Amino acid sequence: MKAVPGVIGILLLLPALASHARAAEDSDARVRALAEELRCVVCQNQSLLDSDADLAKDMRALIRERVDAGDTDEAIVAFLVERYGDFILLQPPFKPATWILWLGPLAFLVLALALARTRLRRARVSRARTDDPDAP
Amino acid sequence: MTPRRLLLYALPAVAVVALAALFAGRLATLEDGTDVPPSARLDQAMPVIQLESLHPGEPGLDTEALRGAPYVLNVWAEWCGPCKIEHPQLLALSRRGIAVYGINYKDREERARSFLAERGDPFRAVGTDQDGKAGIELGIFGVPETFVVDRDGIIRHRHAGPLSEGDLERVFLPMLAHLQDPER
Amino acid sequence: MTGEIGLFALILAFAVALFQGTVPLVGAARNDAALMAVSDVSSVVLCALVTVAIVMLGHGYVTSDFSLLNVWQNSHTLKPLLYKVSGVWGNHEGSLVLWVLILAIYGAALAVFGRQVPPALRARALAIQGLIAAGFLAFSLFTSNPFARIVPIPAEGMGLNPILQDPGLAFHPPCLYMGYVGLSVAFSFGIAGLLGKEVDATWARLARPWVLLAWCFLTAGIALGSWWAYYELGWGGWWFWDPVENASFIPWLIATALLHSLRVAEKRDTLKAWTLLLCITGFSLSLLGTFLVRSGAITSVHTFASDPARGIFILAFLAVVTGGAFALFAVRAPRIRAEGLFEPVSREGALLLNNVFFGAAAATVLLGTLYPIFMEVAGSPPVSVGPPYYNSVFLPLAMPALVLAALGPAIPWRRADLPGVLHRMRFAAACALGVVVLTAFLHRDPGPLALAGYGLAAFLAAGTLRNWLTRLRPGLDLARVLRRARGLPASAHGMALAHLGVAVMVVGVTASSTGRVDLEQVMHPGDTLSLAGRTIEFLGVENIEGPNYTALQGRFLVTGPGAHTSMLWPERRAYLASGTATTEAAILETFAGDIYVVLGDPVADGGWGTRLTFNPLIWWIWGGAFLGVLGGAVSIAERARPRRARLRSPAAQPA
Repeated sequence: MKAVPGVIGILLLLPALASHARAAEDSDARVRALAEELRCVVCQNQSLLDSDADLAKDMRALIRERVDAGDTDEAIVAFLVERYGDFILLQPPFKPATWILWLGPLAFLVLALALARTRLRRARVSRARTDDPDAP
Repeated sequence: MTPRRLLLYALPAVAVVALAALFAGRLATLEDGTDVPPSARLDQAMPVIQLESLHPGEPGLDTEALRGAPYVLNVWAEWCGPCKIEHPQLLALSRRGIAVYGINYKDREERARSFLAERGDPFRAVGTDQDGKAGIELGIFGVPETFVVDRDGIIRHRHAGPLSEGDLERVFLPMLAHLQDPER
Repeated sequence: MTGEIGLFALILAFAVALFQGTVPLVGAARNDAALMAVSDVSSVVLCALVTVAIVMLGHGYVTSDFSLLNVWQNSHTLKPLLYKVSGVWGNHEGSLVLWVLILAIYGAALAVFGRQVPPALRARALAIQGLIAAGFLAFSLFTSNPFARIVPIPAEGMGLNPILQDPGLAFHPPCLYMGYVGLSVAFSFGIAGLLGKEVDATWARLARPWVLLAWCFLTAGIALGSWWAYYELGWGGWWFWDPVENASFIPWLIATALLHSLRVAEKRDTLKAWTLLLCITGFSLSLLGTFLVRSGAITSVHTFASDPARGIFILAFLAVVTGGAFALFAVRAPRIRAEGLFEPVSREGALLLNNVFFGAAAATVLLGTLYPIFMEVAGSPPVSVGPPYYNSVFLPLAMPALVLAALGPAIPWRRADLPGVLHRMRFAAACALGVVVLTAFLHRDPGPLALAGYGLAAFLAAGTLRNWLTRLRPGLDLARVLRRARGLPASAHGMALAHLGVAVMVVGVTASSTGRVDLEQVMHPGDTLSLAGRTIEFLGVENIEGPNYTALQGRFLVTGPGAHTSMLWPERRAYLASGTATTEAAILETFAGDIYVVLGDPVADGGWGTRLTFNPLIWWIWGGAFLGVLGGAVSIAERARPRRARLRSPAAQPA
C-alpha cells in the first residue's frame, strides 16, 4: 500500500507533464503563427515562415526567444514593427493610410450591388412599358 | 439618357487615366531609388546597443556612451562585396575628423580584422554582432547600411547600400557639418 | 544568318500588322468587300512571319549560338534540350516574341475558323488584333530585340535560373499566355461590335467560344503555375497572393464574369453594355499584368529584370489601347438597346449577381495588388499587402458566389418563383447540412472555416448534380439517357462539370488550409516521427551529382499504412553554372493527401533541420481546376456545331 501515494503522485504529475508538452507544442505553434503573419523584409512576397533568407532565420530565432521568454504575441509584433515599420506586417493595420485598402472591397460590393439594382429595376420598368398596349 | 448615366459609362475611361498617372508616378520613383524601404528608425532615438569589440582587449561599442556628439554608424561585413566598394568613403569621413563607428555584422572575426588591417581602419570602435541582433535592433535590411546620429542620439539619416563619393558630398558632409555646429 | 532572318521576319511582321490594323477598318467603313477580305490573308501571313522569327530564335537556343546576346544571357550548353527550348520564353525578349506569336495564332484562327462571323465584324476584329500585334512588335523591335548580336562571341552561356528548369514551368508560361492573349479576341470583338454598332445576341454567340477558349487556357495556366509553386518553391503552399499571381488571377475573375454575362447577352439579348465592358476590361487587365511584370513596377519572384524604358513604352501602349477602348465605350455603349426583360428573381438576375461578386472580387484583388504602389507614389511609409489581407477580404466575396453557383442553374430564365427555386434546392441543402454535421463530428474542433467550406462545397456539388440529373432523367434504359445527354446543349454539361470542379476545388482548399499539419524540427539519422498515420524515419543525407548540379539528398523512409513502405528524397541543389541553390521538396502523394518533406540546414551536432507537412486532399485543388477546364472545353464543342445543338433531334445527328 506504500505505493499508493507514489501512484497518486505520478497520476497528479501526468496532467502537468502533458500540459508542459502542450506548452512546448503551443510555443511552436505560436512561433509558426507569428512567422506566417510577418513578412521577410528582404524577400519578395514571402512570409518569415516560408523564407530561407538569413535575416528571416534570425528573426524566427528572435521570435522563438521572445515566445520562450513569455512575451505576448502583441508585444513581439510591436517589437518588430518598431524596427521595421508596418512594412513587416503581411496584414496591414487599419489606420488612416489604409482606410481605402480595407474599406475598398466593401465599397466595391456596395457600388456593384447598387448598379445591379438600377439595372434590375430598368429591366422591370421597360417590361411594364412593353406591356403597354400602345407600344409597338 | 440622363447626364448622370452618361457619366457612368465614362467612368472606366476615367479610371484608366487615374491608373496611368499612378503608374507613371511609380516609374518615376523607380528611376531614382533603391528598392530598400525607408527605415522605421529614422527620426527615432538610436537604440541601446552594447557590443564586444572586434579587436580583443579594446573597448566595445556602446551607443549610450556616444551621446553628446554627432557620429556615423556603419554596419558592414567582410563577406559583403559592396562594403569593400564603400570602404574608401568611410576612411575619407574619418580622415575629416568625423566620428565613425562600426558594427561588424555576422562575420568571421579573423577575416574582418585582416580586412581592416589591409584596407585601413576608419572606426573609432567596432562592435561585433555575431547573432545579428544588433542589426535587427537597427532595423537593417542588409549590409552595408550607414546611419547618421545627432548629439541627442536621434537617427537623422539612413543610407542603404554602398556609400559613394557623391553621397558624401551631397548628404553626409553637409548634414554632419550642420549637426556639429547647428548655429552655422 | 538565322538571327538576321528572324529579325527581318519580325520587321516584316510589324509592317504586315500595321497594314492589317488599318486597311480592313477602311474597308468596313466603306463596306468594301475586297478591302475587308485583306484581313483574313494578312492574319495568316502575320502568323507565318512570327513563326519564322520564333523558330529562328529557337534554332539559336538549340544550337547554343552565343553570338546572339539573348541566347548567351539565358542558355548554356550543359542544359537539357527541353530547357534549351523553354529558355526561348524564359526571358523578357523571347517571351515577348511568344506573346506576339500567340496573338498572331489567335488572329489566324479567327480568320480561318471564323467563317460564320459577318465580314464587317470579322474585318474590324482582325484589324484590332493587327493593331495590338503592331504595338507589341514595336515594343519588341525598339526596346527588346531578341536577335541582338555580341562580339566577340562568348564560348559559354550564362545559364538559366535553375528554378526555371522544371517541366511545370516550361509549359506554364505558354499556357498562361494562351489565356492572357486569348482575351484579346474578346476585346477585338467588343471594339469591332462598338465600331460597327452590331452588338446583339448573334455577336454574343460568336464571341463566346473565343472567351471560353481563353478562359480554359487561363485556368489551366494558373493551375499549372500554382502546382509548380507547390512542388518547386518548397514552401508547401499553392497560392501566395503574389502580385504576379494576382496579375493573372484578376483577368481570370473578369473572364469568368464575362462567360456568365455573355450567356445572358446571347440568350436574352440584354446586359450587352456590361458584357462589352467586361470584354474590354479583361484584356486591359492582361495588358496591365504585362506592364506590372515587365516594367519593374512591382517586385516579385516571377518578374523579369526591370528596365524603365520598357516600362514607359508599355505604359504608353496600355494607356492608348485601354484608354481608347474605354473612350469608345463611353461614347457608343449608352446607345445600345437592351431587348430582353426579366424579373429580379430569374436566371438573368442570378447571373447579374454573379457578375457583382466577380467584379467586386476583381476590383478587390486589384486594389490590394496596387496599394503598395499607391503608398509609394504618395510618399507614405511602405505597407505590405499579404495573404492575411486577401484571405480576410476575399472569402466574404467568394462564399455568396458559391451559394449563387448552386442556385443559379436551378432558376428559370425571365421570371421565377423563389419558393419553387428553394424547393428544388432542398436536396442540396440537406446534403450540405449532413456534411456540416458530419464534419463537426469527425473533426474534434473543426472551426467555422472548415464547416463553411465543406458545407458550401456539398451544397454546390449536390445542387449541380441534382440539376444535371433532372435534365438527364436517368433510368434503366441507358441508351435513352445517353440520347438525352446528347440532346442537351453541350454547355449544359460543360456548366455542370465546371461547377462540380469548383466544388471539388473548394474541398481541396478547405482541407489543405484547415487540416494541414506541420512538423518542423531537427532530426538525426535514425530519428522517427509519425505524421498522418504513417511512421517516417530519417535515414541520413548523401551527396549526389546531377547533370548540371550537385546536391545534398535527404533520405526518408515512410512506413504505413500497414507494412507498405516508400522512400522520399528531398534535395538541396547547388547549380554549377549559375552558382545558385534550390530546395527540392519530396512529395509522397496519397489519396488522403500529400506528405511533403523539405530538407533544411545541417545543425552542429550532426542533425538536420527538416520540415514535414501533411497537406490533406490538396490534389483536389488541381483536380477541380481540371474539371473546370474540361467543362469549358465541352462548352466550346457546342459552338463548333451550332446547328446540331439547336435541332435537338437525336435522329438528325450523324453517328
